[in-house]
Amino acid sequence: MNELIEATGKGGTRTGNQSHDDIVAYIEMLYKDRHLIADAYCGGTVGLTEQNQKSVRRLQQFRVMRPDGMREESFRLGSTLSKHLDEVFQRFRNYTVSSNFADQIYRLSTLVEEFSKARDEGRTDDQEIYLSDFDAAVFEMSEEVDGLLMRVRMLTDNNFANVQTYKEKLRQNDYYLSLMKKIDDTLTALQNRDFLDVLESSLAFEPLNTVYYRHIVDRLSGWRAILLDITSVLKAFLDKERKIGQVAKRIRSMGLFLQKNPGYQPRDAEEYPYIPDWAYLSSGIAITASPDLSRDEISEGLIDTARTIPSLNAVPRKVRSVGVLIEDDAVEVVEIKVTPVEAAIINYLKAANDSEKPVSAREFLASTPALATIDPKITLLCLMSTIDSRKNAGAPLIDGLTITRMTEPEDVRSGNVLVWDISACKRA
Amino acid sequence: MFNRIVTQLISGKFICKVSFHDGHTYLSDADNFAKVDAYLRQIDLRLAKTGSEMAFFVTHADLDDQGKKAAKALFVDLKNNLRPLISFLDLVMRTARDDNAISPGEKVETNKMMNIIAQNPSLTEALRMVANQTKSIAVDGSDRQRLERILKKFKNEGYLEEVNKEEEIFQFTGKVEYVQEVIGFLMQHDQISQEDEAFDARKVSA
Repeated sequence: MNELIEATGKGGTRTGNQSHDDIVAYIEMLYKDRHLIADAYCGGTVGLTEQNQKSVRRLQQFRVMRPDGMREESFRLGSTLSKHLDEVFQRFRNYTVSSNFADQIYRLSTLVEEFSKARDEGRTDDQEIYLSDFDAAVFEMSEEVDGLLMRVRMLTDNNFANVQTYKEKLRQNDYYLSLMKKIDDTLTALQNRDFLDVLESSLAFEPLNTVYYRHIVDRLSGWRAILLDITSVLKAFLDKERKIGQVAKRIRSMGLFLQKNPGYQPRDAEEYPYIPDWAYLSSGIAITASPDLSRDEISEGLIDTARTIPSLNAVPRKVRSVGVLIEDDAVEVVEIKVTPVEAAIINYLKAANDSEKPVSAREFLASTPALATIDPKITLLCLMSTIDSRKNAGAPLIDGLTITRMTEPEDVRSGNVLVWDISACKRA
Repeated sequence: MFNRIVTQLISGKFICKVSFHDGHTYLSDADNFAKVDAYLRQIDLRLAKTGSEMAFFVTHADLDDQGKKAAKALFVDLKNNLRPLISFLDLVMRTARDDNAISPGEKVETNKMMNIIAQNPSLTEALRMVANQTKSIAVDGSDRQRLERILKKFKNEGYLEEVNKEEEIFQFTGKVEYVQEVIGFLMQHDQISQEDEAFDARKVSA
């Protein structure tokens, strides 16, 4: 470890073997403490413990870890490594994707001036250092513009998924729109004709000019295209979010209004000043179609379709065994008991059916011995009732008879009709 | 394509990117729109679209007789169904914590929604209110079944399309944009103010 410190302390050249070894040793050191570094990156900070204090102190020496400042005995990752990890794992820090390009552009001019002076004064080593610094600065700017555009593009494509509220999303959108404007200004500055004229003014500047064109000028049109693309997405997002916000606001307001006014109902259509077009919505018409079996050209298709229809599961026919004739039991003779009045009425009707001359019911019934004790008025009433009921039923015994009611008014004013006899005979 | 589009439109369906993507693309072309409209005019119907062309639908061309009957029926339907629909849309926005949640194409994941509702008594109450309003009775008395019934109801009414039956994931159709226009009209003419204090503080998902 001490060797590593000594080696890095010496500085060394960028291409020298020692420097290469230093870098390898440094990366190995980082690897050795990889879990601690990961903990610090993911958790934001790590506390000093007996187990990790040696590693923490070692990392602190290389500025990989710094005291937290907020808590005692706590350490966090140095910003350089933290930024590197952010970039590797595409972790976005809000509002961090910005750079002060104006300063960097000014630095480029200064480096060109210093390069020129070193050349004029014959300081070749310094000239090389300035060229190398110019190359690094240009490359860094190119990387930054590239990375910045890529990150903003991802943020916009994700609809600013890194923040949760609408206001935040809209604020970020506004911020990045203004940032895009700044990048646009930067790109214009990078294309500054005066600066390009300086680089092209002398053959001595040729190496600077080559580097600048390769890393900046040749990429400008590509960056502009991405910039335009992002700006249009940002503007579209802003427009969309405003519309969505408006719709959501309206629905929430309506919900609130309905809660406060439980009795509210939309009015009838005619009560509004006009009926909007959407209200004439058709509720739909059911459509059914049947195949035209008379069309020969579709018969084959229909047959094919019919073949595709799975046949119904055949229901097994029940085989019935031959039965045995069972003879009916002897018909049970039921004796219908009739009352003497019913028997006399039936006999009267039969007698009337056999007679062509009217047969007096009163006389016939009076001659029946079984009715001797019954009031003739009652038997006559029973006969009339039988005739009425059987007439409605269309009874054969009555259908063929001419029946006459022998009446005389008891009293014209009472409205009653006095039936004193009935005569019946076979209809002519 | 023409045949399928016209059949769906005549049967009263809304055509949007979620319910019938190719049909929506076809109708987005002005010439095709005119072609379908001309066809529908022959049976006294006309082709209409929502404000942002998220959905196409059919209205009556004859505004005197059939059209008026349809408009009356629609307002009667609104009387019965506006309240539950608004409550449902508000519930979805609240559970998703996203105003964008009720835009056409946005997903409604039953499991995710239920988890959020279960952890928040106020949302649980809101769910039960929507269930009451939509008469979505849970046989087993569970909130989960209530939510399922509610989603099924709005699916049957064409506001949602079930895109993953196994995982019970739905997507809002273009018909919600139609509802948004209806709400805008009612708010304008029934003097309903746009109070929305919770808007700025409301959290939204990614």
